[in-house]
Amino acid sequence: MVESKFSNRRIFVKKIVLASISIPLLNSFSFLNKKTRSRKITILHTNDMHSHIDSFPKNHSKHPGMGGMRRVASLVKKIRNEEKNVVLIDAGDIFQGTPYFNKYKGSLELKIMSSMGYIASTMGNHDFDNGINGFKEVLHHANFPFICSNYEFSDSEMTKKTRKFLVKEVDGIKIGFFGLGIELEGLVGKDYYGETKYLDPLDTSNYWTNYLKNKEKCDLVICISHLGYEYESDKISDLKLARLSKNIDVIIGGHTHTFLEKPKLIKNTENKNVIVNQAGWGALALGRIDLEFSKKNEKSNSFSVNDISKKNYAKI
Amino acid sequence: MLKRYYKFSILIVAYSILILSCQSYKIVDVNSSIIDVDKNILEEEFEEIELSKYRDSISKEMDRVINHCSIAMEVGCPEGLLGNFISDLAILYIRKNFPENEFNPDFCILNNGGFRSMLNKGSITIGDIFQIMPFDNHLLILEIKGEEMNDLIKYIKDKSTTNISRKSGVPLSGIRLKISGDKVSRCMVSNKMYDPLKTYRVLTTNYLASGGDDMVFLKDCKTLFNTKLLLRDVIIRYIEELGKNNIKINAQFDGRVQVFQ
Repeated sequence: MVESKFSNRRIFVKKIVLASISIPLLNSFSFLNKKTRSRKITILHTNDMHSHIDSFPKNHSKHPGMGGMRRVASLVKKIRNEEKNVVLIDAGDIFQGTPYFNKYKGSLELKIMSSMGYIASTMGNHDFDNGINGFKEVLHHANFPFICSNYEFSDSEMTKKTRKFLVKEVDGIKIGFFGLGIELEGLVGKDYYGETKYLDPLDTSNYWTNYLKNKEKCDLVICISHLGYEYESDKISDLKLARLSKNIDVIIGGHTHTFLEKPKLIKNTENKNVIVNQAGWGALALGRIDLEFSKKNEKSNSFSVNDISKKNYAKI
Repeated sequence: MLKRYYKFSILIVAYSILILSCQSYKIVDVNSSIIDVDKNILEEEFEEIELSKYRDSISKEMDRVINHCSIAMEVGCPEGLLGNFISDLAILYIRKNFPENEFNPDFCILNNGGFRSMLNKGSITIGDIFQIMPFDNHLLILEIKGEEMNDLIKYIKDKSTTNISRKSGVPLSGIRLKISGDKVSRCMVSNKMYDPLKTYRVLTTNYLASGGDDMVFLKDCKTLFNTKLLLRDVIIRYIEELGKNNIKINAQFDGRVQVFQ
């Protein structure tokens, strides 16, 4: 009796030892590694939807019967059924563009986006179109945060209701978000943005990426930007920010209504890849970036961007 | 014996935790696509937020008749009824509604490219006006003088003499221009002869004020007054006000821009 109890314990201990050895051992077999330790995050993103809840009018000269948040919503629903870790992001300019905004002041857009399950957005210049007060009045319809890292609101309520950064863990991947808005002077009437201070996007970016990567130890840092994709002048843009950055993995952009074929890869100051993307405007396109993660020691991040074979999303 | 096992396994566990913690998740593969939101994708109904109610209410608003139009109005070159009508009403509305404003505009300049549809003869709905002016451009009063004013007149001349598209011609109110061949033979601003030394006040949209439609001469003009009114709202309010007073909408050609070969 005593003997068998002892041997039971001995077997148990042996098991523990074996298990503990096997973890680092398994780790060295990369083919097993991929199966057991890899993770996938599916970023879906929109920008500059400009109150296009319904599709464009059937007699529209450029986009007849296309687009609309209602269609984007059914696309997102379909992808959520196929993918476990969907992260839905918007890059601003939700407001202004259809009578829905004129009549409901943006409340309907925010209700719809809440129902679609957005994780975060940032403020575009048109989101100031009813002034800070107009924005504040409808903000409670959004169940997701607005991340405005480089706007310093004089309005204390706005400071409380917007965020400087966001950290979310999705299936073991720690994701850090920060948001950059465009310079408001000259673009938005002074009476609309009031005493809101515009902070330098690059300084702001350096501060928050350092915080998110090194203090919060995020695996993935996403910049939600309404700076614009690229300019002929040396004005700060997503591409310029990517080149001058450190620790940003993905920039989800807006403002310039840019339709890209696929995301752009830019080398940052440390020669690491930054993924920059934008999805047109008017809810005419939905951007999708699937990121495969694996535990790795090395510091470099080398990957290319592959096209997902053109799936037929029709009639879903 | 037992103790040794325990010690050993604790060591191993600690070792593996150390190994694991040294590693972090890195992106190893990226797949992407930009999905076109085309006609074949179903439109979500959002029953939980009763979207259909909002939509019905919007279409009811868009279908609301605000007045009647006696004549079909289109853009034109050198003069168009639609351009005459809208630039006239803009200046009238601003003068009437900002009587205390010290910066009364001398003239109004708009662009035909900004008018996306025509005004049909018959009933006018709010939706018709949204069709004509979908842009949310607001009206500003700028100060213009000297070289910029000369460039503005030259711009009108060029746009009025080359009738190449529906964007040709310039909607104007408060300026009368006679163009003979390649020369401006007569220019009146606010019922007086144009004075190159005078400073004028021009009513226009923020889009054109930022140099839109090649109006680079407006780009550096000082903004005297921001009406904060959308041009579309001004059009709707003006037409609706007349409707309430049973005055139908009308416009005519009055030779404000004349071209002689």
